[in-house]
Amino acid sequence: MMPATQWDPPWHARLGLSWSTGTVPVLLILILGSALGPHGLAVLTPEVLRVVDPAIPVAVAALGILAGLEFTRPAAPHRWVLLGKASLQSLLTGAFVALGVRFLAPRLPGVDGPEAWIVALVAGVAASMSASLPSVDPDRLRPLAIRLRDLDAIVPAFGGAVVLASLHAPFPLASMTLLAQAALLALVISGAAWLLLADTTPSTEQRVFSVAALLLVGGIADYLSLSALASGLLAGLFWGVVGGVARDCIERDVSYLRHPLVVLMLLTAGARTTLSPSILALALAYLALRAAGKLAGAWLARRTPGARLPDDLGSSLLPPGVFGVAFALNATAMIGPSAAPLLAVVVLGTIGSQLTAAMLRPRERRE
Amino acid sequence: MKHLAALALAVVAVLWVRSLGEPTGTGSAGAALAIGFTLLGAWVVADLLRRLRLPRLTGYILFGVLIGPSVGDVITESMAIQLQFITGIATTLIALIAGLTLNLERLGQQFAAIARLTAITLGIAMTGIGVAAWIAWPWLPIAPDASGLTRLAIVALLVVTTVSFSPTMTAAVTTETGARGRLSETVLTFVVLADLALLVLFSLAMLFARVAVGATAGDGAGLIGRFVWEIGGAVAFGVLVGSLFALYLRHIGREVTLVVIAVCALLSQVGTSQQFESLLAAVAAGLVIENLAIAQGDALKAAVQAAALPVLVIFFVAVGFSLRLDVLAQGGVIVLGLSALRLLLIRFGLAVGVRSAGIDRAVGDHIWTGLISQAGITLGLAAVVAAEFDDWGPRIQALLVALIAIHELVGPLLFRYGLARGGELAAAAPRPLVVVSNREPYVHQEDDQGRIVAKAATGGVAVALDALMRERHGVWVAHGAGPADRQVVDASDKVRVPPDGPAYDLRRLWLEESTFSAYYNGFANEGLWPLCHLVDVRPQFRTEDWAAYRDINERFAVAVSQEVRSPNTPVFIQDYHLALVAPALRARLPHARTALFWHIPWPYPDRFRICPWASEILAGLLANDLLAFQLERDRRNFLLAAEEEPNVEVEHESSRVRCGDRYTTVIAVPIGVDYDRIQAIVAAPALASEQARLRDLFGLSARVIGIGVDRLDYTKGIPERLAALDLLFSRRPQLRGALTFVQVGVPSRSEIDSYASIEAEIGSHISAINARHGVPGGAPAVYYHKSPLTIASLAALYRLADFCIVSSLHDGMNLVAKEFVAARDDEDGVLVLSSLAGAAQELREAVIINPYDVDGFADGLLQAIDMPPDQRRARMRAMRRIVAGRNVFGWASDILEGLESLWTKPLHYSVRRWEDMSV
Repeated sequence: MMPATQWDPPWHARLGLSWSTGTVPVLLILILGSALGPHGLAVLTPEVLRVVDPAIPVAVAALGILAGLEFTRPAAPHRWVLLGKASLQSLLTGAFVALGVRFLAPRLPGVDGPEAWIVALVAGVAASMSASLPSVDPDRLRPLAIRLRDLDAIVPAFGGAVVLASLHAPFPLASMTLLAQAALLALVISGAAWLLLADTTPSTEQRVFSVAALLLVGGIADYLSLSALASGLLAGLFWGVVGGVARDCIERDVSYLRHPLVVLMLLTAGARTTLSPSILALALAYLALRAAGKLAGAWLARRTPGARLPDDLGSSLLPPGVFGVAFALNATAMIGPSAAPLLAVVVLGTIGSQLTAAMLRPRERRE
Repeated sequence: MKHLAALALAVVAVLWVRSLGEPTGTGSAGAALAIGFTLLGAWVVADLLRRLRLPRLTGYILFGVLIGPSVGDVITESMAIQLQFITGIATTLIALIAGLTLNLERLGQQFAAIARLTAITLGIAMTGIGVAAWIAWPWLPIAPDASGLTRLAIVALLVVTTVSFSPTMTAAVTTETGARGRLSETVLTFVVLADLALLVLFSLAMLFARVAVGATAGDGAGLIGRFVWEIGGAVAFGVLVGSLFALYLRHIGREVTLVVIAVCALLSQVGTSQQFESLLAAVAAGLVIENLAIAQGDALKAAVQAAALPVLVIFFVAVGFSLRLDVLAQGGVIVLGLSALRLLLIRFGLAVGVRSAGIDRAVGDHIWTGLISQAGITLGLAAVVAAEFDDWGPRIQALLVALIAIHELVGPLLFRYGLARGGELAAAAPRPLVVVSNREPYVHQEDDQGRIVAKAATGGVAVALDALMRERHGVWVAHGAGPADRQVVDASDKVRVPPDGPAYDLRRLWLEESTFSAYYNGFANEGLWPLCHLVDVRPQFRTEDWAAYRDINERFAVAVSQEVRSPNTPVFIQDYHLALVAPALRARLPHARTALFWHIPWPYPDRFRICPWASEILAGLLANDLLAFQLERDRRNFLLAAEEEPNVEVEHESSRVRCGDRYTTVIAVPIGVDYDRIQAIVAAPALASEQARLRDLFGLSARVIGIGVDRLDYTKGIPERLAALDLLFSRRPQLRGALTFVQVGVPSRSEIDSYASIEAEIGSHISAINARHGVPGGAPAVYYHKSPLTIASLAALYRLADFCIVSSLHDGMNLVAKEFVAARDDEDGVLVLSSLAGAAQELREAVIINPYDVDGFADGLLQAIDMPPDQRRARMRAMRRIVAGRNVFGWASDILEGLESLWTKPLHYSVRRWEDMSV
């Protein structure tokens, strides 16, 4: 008989491969990207990375779409309670890291003044997310702690969108207007895809429309230099709510593309990572603040009313997932070259978080 | 209409985005947007054009022209430039596909003739254009002042690029129209060979031009070395990549489409950086895979056809972007003149070549229509010339782009016209089909008023095949068993069906009762059925039954041979009753194309040897071209059984069996249900009233309702099910009066002892359970319904149930399990499924039980009854996705398309899992 719950791989596999998304060995690929990048073996030259660039917002949007679909999955008890708790712990973690990085960021070359705040907020948003995506069968129920972890990207993703929008306009109203327009555009594209897919039977045609919708959602965010994660999330929520064929097609096709896109994104993030003593120091601070934030957030989440969560929830929240790196890579592209140290900090922090999580692994349990 | 509305929304979105400002972030901004919009819009526009009977390719290109920088400017120049990387991959992909089309073994002797035709045509066309260009040089807008060697070099480049063709366009038009025949094959081979030769000549011409204009230094040996590197290096690299790719396909074979795109990117990038012909390398890689790794070539082709489509769509739209109508207008007369000259010389060259190569005039007269198109390769060559010779190169490029504008718009239309004139579009139309089964799809009988009415079979397979026949037309040969069947047939024993819209002939075979009984009840159901099902019923093999079986199979074969009008007509034989039809048919029609689907399990070899005529059955099945089983397990068992036969060779990798001088491909294609029909039934307003009727009929007042729907057969595990229910009521007495289990059990084959005894056993078991666990005045523990229900009533019953039990002791698939899942669009209900039913291989989210373990079975029932709603929903949703994805029409078309593909190539890829090739 099939088990009702799905379990993470054994600890040695997690440690060796940092299999945090269940399908993508995050740690290995980040290190591989770094080794192959311009500062390593230079197989991934700046020219090659430029060629890959258009795929990055698409990869980030794909993650957002899948997170949106996951949130709207019908068989998800305690969804809102878990979202509340997940958001609470992620906001706490984000605040810890943002304040810490704001304090230390001026030590990085070229990061000062208002830019230091942006860098700190982006780092906070990246650190706050632990979410990974269900790997084998999304319909199978997972433990509450894992479901809480997988919901903690939603609020930070929208918060990150606000941060990135603020880069474009000096006044909050203007940036909010731009953000609202981007949200509407994501919904227009989602609506167009829904119209197409609701009336389409051949799987080839469905596949073309799903891929086109993904490219448009990611492409619009890229063109406007806004958060592809938030656009994807919004589109995923739309398709999840309308349901039917559109939801099934998008989920099937985006899930299929997720693996290569995430690998590409992680390789790129690794390749763009530069090392310096100040970056290493900031990465250590990032790692410590993130771990502290997650453990404190878990403690708080367990004490708020609602679904009963395990004692070692904090350990479940330590793995960094891929959303943080995705957001940081997306944000770095929007901010420009001066944000390169930020990406390096997030990548190193992710590698460190992964190792920490492998060592402080939660007990296996059935819920 | 919805598609147009969606396109309008996408256009609005793109214009809105552009109104918000130019991209500010990375240099990539705009690429994803452009690709997404291009893909969506081009598909919708091409679909519109297809409805107007125009090629889809024209739609892609037209869309590109309309939204491109030179006309609509929805996609700006900078966004179009972003697509160059994709077009680079696409061009390499096209070259790879071109290589994959060249199967030297299949082309056989034709290959030499086509190569000769190609050489003559190219020679004449190139010479003619070269002479004309030399004479008209002062008027050509390229480099009027050039003279001597420089002029000769430029002319050489102009000639090579002007003559080049488009393998992609040719392949795309034949694929899209479904054309099949010697014309399409000749044209495709011609353009691939011609472009291969032209790629070599282009390298030579480039080298010559570099020397002539003094752009390169070095001695003769150095120049020859460079040429050898450009060509030889490309071929060597292509062979290496092709071999590695074949190994990847063979040993890993996952995410093939994504890997193929990565390989194309690699070929494109390495070719550029190492200065060799990447297109030649890609053709060489394709040739290696196609000719040295046949099975892998098919897997690759299937993946490319299934999923590289988006890349090609973007490529064709990008061609549309590059079509500069203004350039065409400026150089109008010269461009038109050059186009006309090219066409004239190609036709003249073909006329000479067709005669010299001995190609059939019926084919030769239409080849020219497939040689008009120019696209990616020509554009690529033009770009190389423009990039290297910046004074006159761009002018050659402008001229070629204008030429492509004409050829791209006209080429696909002309080729389609040529294929139609050559009679190859008719070949693409679905050929009539001959279906052979023991049971007929319509039975004629008299109703209460004495009128003869046709009653349709309700089984899922019969319904699917009927739908297929409505579309394909042809003849269905079956045993006429209805009481009024003889009264409605014509002199050739045929009647047009379906009654509501006659679309095909039902040919009835009249079988006398005694022979039929020995064939059907005897050999088929007392022999083969228990032989293939692992239950404790001893197979009975009698010589007289075997004789009847052979006789009736022979009679089916005679009837089929009378209905097969052409050797190409596919014959689709159903099930274990007709294992010997194929050899008898082949004795009459040696070239008949037959496929047989074996619906029940295939036993392991030791058990199969129980049959005294095992070798004859195997040989009979191996007379089919395609043999399909439900599960991988059955396919493997069959291959193992075949391996034990002398004079039979099994190729496990390609899943082919050689028996004598012929091959049989063996595949596993699990059957599905008519999902859409069941959806329509459960969505209809009549469902509620039918549910109410069934509640009244069965007296269903219990809180919990379970169901089992079976033909009364000893393989269905009904006594085991009843034992588990008995135990369930004992373990949880509070379910007495609160749970009713409805057992729909339709008696069948009652004249066979084993069936009669199982019917009696079930009846007495149910009475005992009701006596033991019945509550006075309460709902019955088990309700036993013995009449068949229509599919609408069954669907209503499925929706009433909290759980459904399928407890087969051994089963090929079991469609009740899939029907139950298909009917549960409310995403509720639990399926309790035997691990010994074929369906358990797919429906892993069911509560899986072993019917032989009564305790475990009862545990499973308790789990089903107590399952929380969210878990029920999650499991049902997962199962529905599987059932929806593999319906009965997909099953039928998988087998028939597999059979039809044997016309051209063995069906190696069907033995692989679909998931392995998906995108």
